[in-house]
Amino acid sequence: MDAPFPFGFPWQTAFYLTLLVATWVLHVAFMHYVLGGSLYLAIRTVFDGNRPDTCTTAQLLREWMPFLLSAAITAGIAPLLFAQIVYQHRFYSANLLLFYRWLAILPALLIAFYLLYVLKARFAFVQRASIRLVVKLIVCGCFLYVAWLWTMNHLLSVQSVGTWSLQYAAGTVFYRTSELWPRLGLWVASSFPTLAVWLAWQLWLNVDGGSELLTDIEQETSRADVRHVAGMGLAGLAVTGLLAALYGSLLPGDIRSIITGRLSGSYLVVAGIGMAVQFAGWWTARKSSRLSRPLLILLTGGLAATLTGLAVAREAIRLARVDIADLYVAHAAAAQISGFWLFACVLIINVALIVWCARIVQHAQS
Amino acid sequence: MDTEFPFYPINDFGPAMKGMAIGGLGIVHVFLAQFGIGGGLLLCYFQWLAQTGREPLARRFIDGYFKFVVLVSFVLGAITGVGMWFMTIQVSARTIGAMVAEFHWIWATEWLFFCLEIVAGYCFYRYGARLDDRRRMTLLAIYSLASWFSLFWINGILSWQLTPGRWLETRSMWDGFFNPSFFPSVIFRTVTSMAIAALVAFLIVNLLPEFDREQRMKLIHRAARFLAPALGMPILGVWYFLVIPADSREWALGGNVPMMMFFVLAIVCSTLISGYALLGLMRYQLYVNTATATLLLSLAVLATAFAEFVREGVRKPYSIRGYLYSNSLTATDVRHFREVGCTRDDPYPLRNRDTYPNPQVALGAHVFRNLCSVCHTPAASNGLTHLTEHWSTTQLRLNISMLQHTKPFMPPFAGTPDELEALVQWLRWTNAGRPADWSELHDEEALRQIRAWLEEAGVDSGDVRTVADRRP
Repeated sequence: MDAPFPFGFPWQTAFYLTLLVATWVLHVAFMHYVLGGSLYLAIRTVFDGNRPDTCTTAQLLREWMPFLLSAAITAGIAPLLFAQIVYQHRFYSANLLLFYRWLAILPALLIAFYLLYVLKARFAFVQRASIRLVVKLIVCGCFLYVAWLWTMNHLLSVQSVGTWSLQYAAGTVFYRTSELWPRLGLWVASSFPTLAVWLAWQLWLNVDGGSELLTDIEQETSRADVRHVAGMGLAGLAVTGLLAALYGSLLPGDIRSIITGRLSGSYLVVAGIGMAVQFAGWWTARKSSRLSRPLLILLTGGLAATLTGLAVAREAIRLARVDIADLYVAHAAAAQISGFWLFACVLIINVALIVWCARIVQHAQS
Repeated sequence: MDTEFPFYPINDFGPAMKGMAIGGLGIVHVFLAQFGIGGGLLLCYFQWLAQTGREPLARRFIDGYFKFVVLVSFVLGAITGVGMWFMTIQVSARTIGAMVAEFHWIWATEWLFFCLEIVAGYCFYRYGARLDDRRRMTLLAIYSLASWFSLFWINGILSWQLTPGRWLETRSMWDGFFNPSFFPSVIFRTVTSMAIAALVAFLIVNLLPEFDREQRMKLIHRAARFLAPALGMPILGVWYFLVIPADSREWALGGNVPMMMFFVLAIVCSTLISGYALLGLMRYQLYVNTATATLLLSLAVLATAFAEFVREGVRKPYSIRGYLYSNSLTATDVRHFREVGCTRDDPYPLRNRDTYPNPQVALGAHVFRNLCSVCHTPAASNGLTHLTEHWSTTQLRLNISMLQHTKPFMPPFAGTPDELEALVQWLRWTNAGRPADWSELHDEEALRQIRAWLEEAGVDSGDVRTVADRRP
């Protein structure tokens, strides 16, 4: 704990922790789109009332959320796998203690998935404002339930056997802790800056990339969309910052000193710089009502820094609460298992194939 | 924080036994996953038909079929896949833990193929209609390759559970992965996937409104070619049965009546499908309407369900053969619990302890929870009441002490004589209708006899041809 993450652990533990954090960041990038997107759609429908859902951002979300949900679920498999390597007994115990509440995330995801397709397909019955609102609220509720349960599962997994035993004996439906809501709020709020970056890229690729071909009305609409997304990014960053500060203040002093210390202090700085970069980028975009490739790259870089910093801080909070040294032997044993080179080779091949798919799609678009 | 033995909280699934929950979900998942895999291959075939001019209708069919692949396989298949993982944790955290620990790079590699499958699939779904034939084929081939490889990797892990082969001695991941049943299993599943894809195609062709009857007829007979490899299933089945352990083979071939019945039913369903394909489609060139397609598909679901039941069942008394018993204990654990008891160090207390009439019966309930509840309920599905209510007390003591010899698909009893006696008393109390008053029974002679029986039974499986837990 006295060296920056992941140094200071045996290399095997450091290796699996790094893979866990890296794949988790990938998952979060997709998950934020879906979580933030569903909230955005629900809120927008509440405020828009009977007006049809015609704004560009809402259309983009309706169009892409099913795929991004697939991507989020698929990307989530890898951190799930590495979490089992790093914290096997704890992860399983929390799963078991939450039992059917935990298993209920599967039907919740299934319902949300199909309702996203219903929204995308624009069936006649979804055109009615009341139905549209109900569908969006259900989708949003399903994702919030999943987020809530994941947060609860995580917090339960870092408790002692004594706490688990009491939880089990009581047969309590949910695990209650004062940390739950601020932590959940932080992750929900932080989904908006991520969503804003996604939407900005999509707007730019769909409209701004060919702005010279647009009519005056389309250009004005495009500028309004940019201001809208920039506002989302700015507001999301502000609320995320506030909730991060609140959550940090609620953590016990010894935990706080570990995450602000050598283990993850530098990553918190990286996260802060990332937020500042995004803030400056969104401010510029809002004032100019334009997006550009360099600006988007800057925003994406800022977002990557923020997500990585937050992911490491999240892991540091967990490491501060568990006796990771007890697990070194298990990590060393896992590192003895063959197959890493297979994984590495397939990674290269499959990334190449994914790039190939993207090039084929580019051809279709051109 | 961790005790030497990894105790986990054990949940009560009510009247449903845990095997039913995981089995039900598993059947749905396997069927959908195999539909996705076979579907990819079928679409490549139809794309080839389209781009070589052999079948002008093929392109329209592909676009219609692929929507079903996305809506059913991508969504339901993906979520039931994660569901299987979570459900396995509920049923046996230690089993999934061993599978993850031993094969985590295989799981990670499989994940890379999931990613590729999703990307290629969605690229085709979204842009396929705008692409030329060559690019469509490229995307479909990548999608199909990725989905088939996901089968390839997971098959190694699942077949390892039944036939770990040389892994038991070497502990080499590759020995475990390329285990004796790997190849028959992966070929069998590929053929099954192709058959399922063809059967789904029959239904989808009928559901797509853009085709008339004559066009449907042509497409159905094209898709029916994917049923042809199913005619080789008997040979693959025999190969599979030759490589699985002798006792497992015996369960399915008459040693266990329900298992044999399900095995026969799986063969009957598969034969009916293959027979229809051979005679109805190839010989007499019949048309398959929606009703017939639904019936054939239902038979395929049943064949999958029966076959998966047998595949899971013949692994007993293990969840990982030769290493981990179905109640998540190794032979070393059994030996340890015979000394210290299976409840002494368990940090999770018995719930509703005050509903038991005395501490001995409560201890028996605790033993039941820790050792038996993974496969049995007290009085519902696979209930111990139904299995033991006519046994005498002496019979209960003897049969449980020598459990793996009483019924070789049961693991050895893993507790002290006191715990075994407590389990016997709990069974007697349960079989008597759980009366409020029930006195404890302490019979020193019975305990001595139980100890002798336990020693005689040993800690290995009841089948003398296997030796459990060879880990040094």
